[in-house]
Amino acid sequence: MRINLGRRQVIKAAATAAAFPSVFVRGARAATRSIQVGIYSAQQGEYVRKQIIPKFEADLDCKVFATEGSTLNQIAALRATRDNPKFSVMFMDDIGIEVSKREGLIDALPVDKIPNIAGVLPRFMFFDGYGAGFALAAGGLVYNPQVTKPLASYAELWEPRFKQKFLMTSPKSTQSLYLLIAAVSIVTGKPLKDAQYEIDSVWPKMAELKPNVVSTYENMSQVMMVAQGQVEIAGIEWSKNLYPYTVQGAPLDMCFPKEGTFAGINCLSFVKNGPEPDLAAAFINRMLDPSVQQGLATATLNAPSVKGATFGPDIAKYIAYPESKMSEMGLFAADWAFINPRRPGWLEKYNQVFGV
Amino acid sequence: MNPRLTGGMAWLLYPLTAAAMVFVLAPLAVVMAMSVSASAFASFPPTGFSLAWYGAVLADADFRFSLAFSGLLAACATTGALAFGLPAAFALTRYAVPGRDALRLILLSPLIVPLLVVGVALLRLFADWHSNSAPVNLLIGHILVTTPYVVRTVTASLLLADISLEEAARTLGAGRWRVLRRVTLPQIAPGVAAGALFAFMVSFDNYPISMWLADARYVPMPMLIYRQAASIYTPAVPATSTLMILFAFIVVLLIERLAGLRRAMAM
Repeated sequence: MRINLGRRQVIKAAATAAAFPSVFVRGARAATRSIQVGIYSAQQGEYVRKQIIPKFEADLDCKVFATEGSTLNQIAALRATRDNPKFSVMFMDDIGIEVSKREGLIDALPVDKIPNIAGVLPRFMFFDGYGAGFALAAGGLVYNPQVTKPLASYAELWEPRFKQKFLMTSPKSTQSLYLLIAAVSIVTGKPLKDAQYEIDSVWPKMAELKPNVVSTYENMSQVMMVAQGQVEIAGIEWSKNLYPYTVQGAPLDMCFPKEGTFAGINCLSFVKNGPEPDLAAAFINRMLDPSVQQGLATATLNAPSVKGATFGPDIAKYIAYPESKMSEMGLFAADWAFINPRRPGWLEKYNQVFGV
Repeated sequence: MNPRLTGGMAWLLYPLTAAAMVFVLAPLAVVMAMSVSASAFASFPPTGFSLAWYGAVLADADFRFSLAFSGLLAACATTGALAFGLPAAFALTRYAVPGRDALRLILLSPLIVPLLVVGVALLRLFADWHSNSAPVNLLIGHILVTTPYVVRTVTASLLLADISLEEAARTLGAGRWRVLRRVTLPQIAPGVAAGALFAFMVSFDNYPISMWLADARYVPMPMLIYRQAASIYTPAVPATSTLMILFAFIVVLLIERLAGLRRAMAM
């Protein structure tokens, strides 16, 4: 084989590589200030990227570099850049706010620079003002309304009729902790807020659930097994993940048994010593703007965290809003300061019981 | 030509080979089958038959951008890997570089260290450098993880190359550059092609590094698929995956036609 590789070709190839950043410039323009923001992925990430950020950039003549990830990724990124913070604002679940605050990764929100925080419902302010919720998903069980009736109690999951018919959420997920709390509530008869402190005693009860568990799942695509009739119940799952399938016509619905409804809360946090703190505060303020909250809730089927939003019946039926509905559903957010340090041990126990 | 396998050994090896191929190809076949489902949601076995999801994917601006971005990123990373890997391979095989074994280990270390760890380390490094350009960060990260593939394959080729031919060319008056182009490179071309192929595909398929370094504007293909899978799991997700599989297949075929992949792999 003969290769005609001249110096010019070599230089040309090297120049192409060097020019790479300028070859692919997407939506770049001059801006005096910029911040790096860690956002979620999926529908919410898309809405933030395409609807919220461009308008914010135009209004404040700035640049917002968004990175998509989950709560665990976001915390890992904050840890990796702790000495020289790269991010200014980080989205994470309420479970992550506790960890980030404890590790000194985030600061209290500068409320004086975030006027819209006055409209946030008090139940969405976390850990002494270190996290402000901006979206709420309800955690419950997934079923096929054409095949199964909604469950009135989590205790029904243990019934023989669901033998090899329950698709259980992965022990690695936050929802798996909520299943443990529901199990404690069944055994002790205590409300969820008290049951969460007795998880260590629940493992014999969880072992009794094993015959009904057909598999565990991490990806929402597997929940389609419920629609196809391969399993009857799945969960605990978030409403924001499931209802988009329902809206699209899949035979899937959610039920929220009497023990209570679990809260999946997406929060905004203010990175400690992050660049451009004023711009970061302005971005958080924008996320809590009533019109932004309304649009975000409509697009993602998450409940807003601010007062005064109104929704038509086509959206309202899917979200836990207004606050009176949250109370009716028995919305429960866990005490992460108690749970987080014990979680690795419970994950180990989960794996032992279910062999996953 | 190798003799045909017959007798008792054939009875053992043919089924085992077939089983190995099924094991490797079955997941890809499942993805491809799901991509032609006529239903609104991806499922296996698929219901009905439709290519409409391919039309939807190809019409999606995000898909087209990510495909082009990943292709360009992989091409530039491959160029960078060749730029660093070729001289490094020459130095390691042709010259008595002090600490050669240690250098070889360092150059190949991205193959040994988990990529997630490399990604976090790069994230920290770029934060220290205040480097906020996702394309530049991605390019540097991808060059880092693809260079060892070039070093490895080119080193193997150089060890097999006949040095006496180069010495004869030099004796006959050819300069160093001419010997490199006319004598050395033709001998190691299969190794260079194989290294470039590996580098391109490793970059094109990379998720663990990109996960840490990409931003929401510059989304390589693997991250786009993950993003889609995290939303509603329609057949568009397996359709996108199938297009990636086909793209990789075409690249392999092209290399085979251009450089003789089998020859390169048979080193």
